[in-house]
Amino acid sequence: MISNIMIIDDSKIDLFVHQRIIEKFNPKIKVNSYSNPLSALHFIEVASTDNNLKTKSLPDIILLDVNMPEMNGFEFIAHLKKMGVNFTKQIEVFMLSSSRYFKDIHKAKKNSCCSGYISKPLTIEKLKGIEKQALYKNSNAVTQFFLSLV
Amino acid sequence: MQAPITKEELFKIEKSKLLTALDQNLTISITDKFGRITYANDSFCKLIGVKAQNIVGETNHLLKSRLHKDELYKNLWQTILKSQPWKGVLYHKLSANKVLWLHTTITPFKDENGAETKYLAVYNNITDYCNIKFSDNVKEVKQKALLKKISGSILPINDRGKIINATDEFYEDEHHLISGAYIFDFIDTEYHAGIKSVIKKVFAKGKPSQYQFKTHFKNENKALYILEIYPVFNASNNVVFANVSIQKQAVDLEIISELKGIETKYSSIFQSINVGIIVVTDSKGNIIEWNKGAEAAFCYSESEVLGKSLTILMSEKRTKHSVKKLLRVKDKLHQTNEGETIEMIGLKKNGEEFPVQFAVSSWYCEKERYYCAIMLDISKRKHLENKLKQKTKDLELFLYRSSHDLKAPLTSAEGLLNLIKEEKNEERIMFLIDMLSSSLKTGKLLLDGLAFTSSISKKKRQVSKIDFKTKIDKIIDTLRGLENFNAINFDIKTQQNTPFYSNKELLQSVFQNLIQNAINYSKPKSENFIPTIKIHVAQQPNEVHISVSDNGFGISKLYLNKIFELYYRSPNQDVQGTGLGLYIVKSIVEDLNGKITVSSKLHHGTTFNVIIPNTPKP
Repeated sequence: MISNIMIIDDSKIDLFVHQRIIEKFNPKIKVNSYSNPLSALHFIEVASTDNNLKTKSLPDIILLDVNMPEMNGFEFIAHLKKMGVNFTKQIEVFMLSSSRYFKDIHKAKKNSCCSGYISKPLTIEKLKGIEKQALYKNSNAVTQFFLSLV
Repeated sequence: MQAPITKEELFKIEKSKLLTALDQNLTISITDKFGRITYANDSFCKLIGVKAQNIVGETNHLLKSRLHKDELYKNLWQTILKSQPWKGVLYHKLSANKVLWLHTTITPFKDENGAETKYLAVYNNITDYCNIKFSDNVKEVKQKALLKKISGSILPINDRGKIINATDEFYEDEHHLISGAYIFDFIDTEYHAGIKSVIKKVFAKGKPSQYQFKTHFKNENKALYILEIYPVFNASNNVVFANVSIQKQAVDLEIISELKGIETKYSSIFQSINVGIIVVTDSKGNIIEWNKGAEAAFCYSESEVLGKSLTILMSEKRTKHSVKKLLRVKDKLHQTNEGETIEMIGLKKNGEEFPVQFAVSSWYCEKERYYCAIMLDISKRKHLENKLKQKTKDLELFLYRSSHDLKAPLTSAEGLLNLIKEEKNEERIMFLIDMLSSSLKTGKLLLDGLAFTSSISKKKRQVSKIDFKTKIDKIIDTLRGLENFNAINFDIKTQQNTPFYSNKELLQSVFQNLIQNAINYSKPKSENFIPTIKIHVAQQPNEVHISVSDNGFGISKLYLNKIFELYYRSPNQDVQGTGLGLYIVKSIVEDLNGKITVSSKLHHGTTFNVIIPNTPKP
């Protein structure tokens, strides 16, 4: 089950919408939203070094916007990687973008740390898909499976 | 009893014995004054291979007719007709490949009655000796002498310069020497490479060509020859052979002066061309001609470069590479006679580098091969090329970003609508609708901005007079509605003495975007802090210097180089910009051939400096 989702998006409206949809999908899920990817990185860094916080606050899933001013989604993933975050076991990252540009999707697919590419707006159906994949992967220990919901 | 032999008789006998002995051992002929043979001994008949009875009364070909024009025979006859003996070497051709060299002594004598003069010729066959010593030399001399003969007639040659067939106008012996010989045999070695190249060219290109060379014979001045080659085609349009004609050029003073005139004309045309850079080198790559264009481009005067290697004109870093390129072109030129256009980096006298494109051609003039490089300074083109590349990149990014960013407000709206559909609470619906309208507003602003961006280039041609003071006041007035506006202290200084012309709308957009940004990123007023925006305009005759600076939040170094990028939005502020503002400003300034720079210190403020040229109406 998904218990903790982190959303990173520079559009505050989108953050709001995502949050509400997740709430509707499953009100028990804890949502952390960041409009600035740097703050999100900082949070993850702190949380992963603190054993008390670790299990409680580290997200299972990150929904990551691609186009952001400080750093784009791919740069964000690179930073996470540097921090030693174990993707797909600890945290699954899904790109969330309004772009359906094939090159973006392709780039996400090629990135082994990226579990899927989902087009905006986020809907309950798409969240179901994300959950399904998370469960599937956990039970089958599949390392690479790419979810594309565009 | 036999009468005793008198002394006279004895002498007679001795004499006849002597004569018989001489006659048997020497080669002798007696000729009358008309050159007819009156006596020939066996040895003579044997030598020229004719029977005695057939030869008496015939012309002695060895002495030829005294009417013969050759210097040697003229001299011979003149001498003996004066009753003086003559000594010399005579040449006689027996057949196509058998010649005789005869050391000859001719002694005139009168017969018994003293009336008729006869000429006793004693021949000494020195052919074997001559053959050993001169055989090669003679052939060469002969063939060179034949150049005179073949000049004026047409000879067919193959692609290696071999004469395929000589026409019938030559004597048999000459025919033999000419047919099957190479055209080179008739011409001095030093010109061979040149002629080879010309022949190659004619066969490769199927176009006539010519070549000039000089040669001289003993006792003669150097003569100028022009060799012309015309290709001959078969039915399938291939060159089968070529016809060569060699013409001796009559060089008289008139022609020389005419040539001088032409030379002066062309050399002054060449020298004065200052558009193209023309450099001529010899086969070693040393510069021998240098025109005005080359002087202007490389900043070397003629005297500085003549005789120097072409490599002084090449970028030092890339000399090796450039020389390689040049050698490749040279090889290609030699093989196919086709030059290639290459690009390389040129080096000016002052060390500055610039890109040049050049075409190399090559030709032979007499015995030396020359190369001519016609160069073009392609700095401008390269600059435009790079600009075009950048523009293409921009455009690609523009399309990509547009597809994303135009969609963003719409997908936000879509998400909001999804929520509205399922929302029952009216108050919450109103809240969502507010967000929806803000999202749509962003979309609309974006579209307006894009529409404006696309019209920049079109607009810049509509030029009008601009009064900076009133323009700035008006813009500030329209920005009154922005947050924090009322707290801001505007410091406006305009200094404008001469009229400034540019496009009103574009300049307005520059000011509006810069001022709006300054307001959006201003800090709130506090007891010891007054947010201030300085707008300074200083006009110089040719351009205007605009600076807009604030003491607001400033921009982190990390993002400073990103701010002009398309769709770049400031990260840390609540302002929901379109990411187009500064992109538009930069596009406008660049389109107006101006410059924009930015400096900023985080938490202290940002300054934009803009220079825009004055573009008065034509």
